[in-house]
Amino acid sequence: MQIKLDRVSFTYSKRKRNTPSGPDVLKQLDLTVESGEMLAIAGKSGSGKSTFLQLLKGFLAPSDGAVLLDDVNPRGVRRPELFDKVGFIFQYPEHQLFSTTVFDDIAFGLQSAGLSDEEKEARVRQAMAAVQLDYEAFKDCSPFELSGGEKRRVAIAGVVVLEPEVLILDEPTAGLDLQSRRALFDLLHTMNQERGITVMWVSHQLEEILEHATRLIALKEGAFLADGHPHILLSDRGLLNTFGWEEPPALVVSRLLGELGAVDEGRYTAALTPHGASEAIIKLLGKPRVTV
Amino acid sequence: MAGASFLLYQKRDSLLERWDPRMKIVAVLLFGAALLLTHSLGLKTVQLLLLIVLWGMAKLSWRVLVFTLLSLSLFFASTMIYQSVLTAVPGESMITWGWLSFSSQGVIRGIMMCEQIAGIVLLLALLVRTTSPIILAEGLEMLLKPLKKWRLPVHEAVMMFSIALRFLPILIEEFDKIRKAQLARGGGFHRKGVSTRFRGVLPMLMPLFVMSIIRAKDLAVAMESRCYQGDEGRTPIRVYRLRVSDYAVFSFSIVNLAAIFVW
Repeated sequence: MQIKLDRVSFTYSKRKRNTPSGPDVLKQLDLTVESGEMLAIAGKSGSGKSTFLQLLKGFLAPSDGAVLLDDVNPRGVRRPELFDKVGFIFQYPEHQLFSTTVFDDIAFGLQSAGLSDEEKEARVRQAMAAVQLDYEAFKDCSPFELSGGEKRRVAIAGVVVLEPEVLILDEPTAGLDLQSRRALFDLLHTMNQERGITVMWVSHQLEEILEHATRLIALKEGAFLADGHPHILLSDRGLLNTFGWEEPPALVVSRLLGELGAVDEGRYTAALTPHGASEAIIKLLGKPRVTV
Repeated sequence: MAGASFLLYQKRDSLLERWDPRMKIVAVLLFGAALLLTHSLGLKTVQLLLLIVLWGMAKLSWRVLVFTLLSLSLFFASTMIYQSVLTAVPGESMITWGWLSFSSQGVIRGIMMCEQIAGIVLLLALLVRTTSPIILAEGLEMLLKPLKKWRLPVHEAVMMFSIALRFLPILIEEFDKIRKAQLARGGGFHRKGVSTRFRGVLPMLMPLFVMSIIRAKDLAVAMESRCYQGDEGRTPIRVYRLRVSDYAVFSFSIVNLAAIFVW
């Protein structure tokens, strides 16, 4: 599914205008997100990231402009159900669990779909497989007894079960340990590659963006300040200074290796991964190539 | 969220914010008593107008005032119908309008009752919107101090009241977030029939309930870690002294109450 923003602006009511970006939370945004992208959104607190995501899901209506899903404006044609194709996962989604069993919690969204019990079970089974939760082992468990990472997977399965075409996540790794963070991104990559789901997420972790995103949008005071490949944007000193970010260590290493001539000119991004960096270092040391 | 703003204190640096909280609470009680006890339509109207003037003096939003009164419209309508149509006493002059006939006295009773409801709501709104929850709790605690002689846990009760008041906006925001999260994974249940929508209530209330308990537990731990031990050995951070304006507020409230016996 293609998402298009056509000169979208958003202004909160007078009462909520004391945001850092002033009364206009989002200003005249133009954007096209193609199907299958892995898009990260970054920006300081109060830059309008959450508002931007809520506009894409249809929770908020633009004050001006339109959000188009496959060239259709759901609000314009009075078809809000089109926004159901956009899955939205809030920060700490495990806080929204409520049922006595994992199965019931995941199947919540299917209640109004008019599916048979067999169809429901198949969909839940599929969603649990997508988030790498064993159906038989977890279906009757109470979601409140699971670990933090498992709870989050259950909450994500609750959205995945609706088979969205776009998945939006607000700081999905907040509060997770390293292992759970890796598992979560493995999951998002699998959904992106195998099902072609567009994944958009808000993150403050530059390393995470560098590793997983194919596109980065930097928001500042309600406007897109930069839009491009994370490797390029995060190497831009000016941009890093604007946001008060520090260059990710992987980029520093690859840049230094580039300066030392260990990687070909213009291809320094090849040294961003541990494998690429080690190959470049070996080349620099003049040692024969070894398998890492 | 509009409803929430009705209960929230925001600093506006108005005259009413500078009044002593004890005197404000006493004045609210006296004014409320006067509103309830008076049987004069004129006096009730004057009292209501006075509250509206105070609303302006408090620099509060006129939009919120209109919203507050409009949100009571169902109460007003049912009160008017009950008083003017259903409680007509034999012998009262009746007004006939088409097939409808209602008592003229009942209409006046209805208006008075509506003014009473509006007055009480505005009075409480003025109190909570011009006094910060902490100051309100401190004022309440000072007023209830004599009850400590009977070993009543006044401080703890007031602390609970103040925490509840302070947590209201957080809970409302939390509810809004949970509502949106459940809508996002609800498969459009909110656009279906009444029974489907009704089934969607539990998924919204349950997480809110769980979150409130977790939040309360965290708060209790945080308070204990800061050595909070209830009222024992506590000294006030703010010392309140009554000023001329506070005595004026009190005197006016007494005059207002006395007026009901004269008028």
